Amino acid sequence: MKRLLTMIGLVGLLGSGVVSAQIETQPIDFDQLITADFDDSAPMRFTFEAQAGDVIVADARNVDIFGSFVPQLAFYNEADEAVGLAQRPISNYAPDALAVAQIESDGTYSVIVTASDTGESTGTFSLKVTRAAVLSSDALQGALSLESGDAYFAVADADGVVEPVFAVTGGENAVALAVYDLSETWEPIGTVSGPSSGGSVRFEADSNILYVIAVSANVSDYAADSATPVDVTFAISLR
Amino acid sequence: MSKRLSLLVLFVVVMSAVVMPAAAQETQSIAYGESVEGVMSNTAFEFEYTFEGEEGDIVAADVRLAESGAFGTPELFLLGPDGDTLIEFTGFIRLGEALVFAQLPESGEYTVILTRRDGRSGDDEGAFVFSLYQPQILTPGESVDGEINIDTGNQYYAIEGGAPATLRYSWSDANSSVPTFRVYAYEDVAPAAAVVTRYPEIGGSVVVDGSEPFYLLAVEYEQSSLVIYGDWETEYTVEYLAD
Repeated sequence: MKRLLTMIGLVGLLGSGVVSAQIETQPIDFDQLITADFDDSAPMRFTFEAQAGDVIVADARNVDIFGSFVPQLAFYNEADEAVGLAQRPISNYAPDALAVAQIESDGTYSVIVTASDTGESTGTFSLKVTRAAVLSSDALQGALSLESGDAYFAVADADGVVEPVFAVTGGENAVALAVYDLSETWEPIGTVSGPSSGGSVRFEADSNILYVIAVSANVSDYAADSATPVDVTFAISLR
Repeated sequence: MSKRLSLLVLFVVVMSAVVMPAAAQETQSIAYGESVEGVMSNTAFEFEYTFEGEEGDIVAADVRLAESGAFGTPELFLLGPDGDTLIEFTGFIRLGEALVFAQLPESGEYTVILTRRDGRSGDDEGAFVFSLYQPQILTPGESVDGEINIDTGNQYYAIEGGAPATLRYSWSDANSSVPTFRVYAYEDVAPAAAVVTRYPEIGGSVVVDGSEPFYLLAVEYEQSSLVIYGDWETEYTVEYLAD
């Protein structure tokens, strides 16, 4: 009961826009894949600096197969107002929770991790916050490893037919590319999975919609003790 | 005939009927492009389909549900003219579906055996459709438009290996769930790559490195869903892009 009251209190504080000093807070660097224990049903806050125009993606996964914790994410600005979108994506190999925000002003932002239920969830989770590079015709280099997790990119302000295309340049893992239309549900509008050489998804973009491109290594998690080695390098561009 | 001999003959006849139930194994010939229907049951649980193949032919054979039933775990074995198994499918891809494919090593009579998991001791029963294909071989720069529905079953194409290849896929006009484009590497019934798009006119492509002798390309519905919603119909395009 005490735990439930604590939870209700925290939710109330967050909902009222008041920064809760009780929430465990720590900074997180972009592209830093961290693991943490969620063991007392208390939200955890991770802070980072972002600039206007940044597309920030956070993903979280339960990496404890015996744990009951299913993460849920939300972005907040310095005034503790919720920003961006956060939902659970629906696709194979996707993280358990994704959040995306297009930042409107420079400042300190935070991503708060909670349990998707109000029970006494416990477990170890991974969290990564990425400043997603906006794709263009110039090729960007990317890498996937147990330490890095998925890679994220964005298609923004694009009108007409576009085609994010990736080419594997090293490693032997099969790679998947998923395109999320942020005006839609979190089921990708298109995926290509499995090719060890490369692939693409071609779609008609709307300049009013932000698209997020996830590149993953077809493994269900990036736990450090995973039996599946991950070591892939790739190039990605917009055709 | 003595009484003892008569009893012996009667015993042999009775025992034959007991240990060799009729229709445990059925054999029929089939040609490329043909489909046959059958019913898996406790008295007919193994079916043999024979066909004449030429050396170098790329062939595919699949089985799919013909009704919403309990025949969920078909198994396929492709045997060469000498009776040796060339490739087998004893796993699980989707409910009621199985696929084998190969490039034939010699000319002669080949056999595909269709059975159910655990054969005689299995308990899957239900109607199915077995099909034999000689997939169209695509060349660089070639594009094909096709249609898939409950009558056509899955659609197969092939490309030869030896060089990297980019394969592009899109579909249109589906009235419900959408088909998936899968690429299978030589003799591996686990797909090497897949493209799934939620909306028409969204395309996807995969690049294969060409290290295999050939690749099988498949436009596939989940056949058990087709059985339930049989009016599905989709047009699609598969392109083998020229470099």
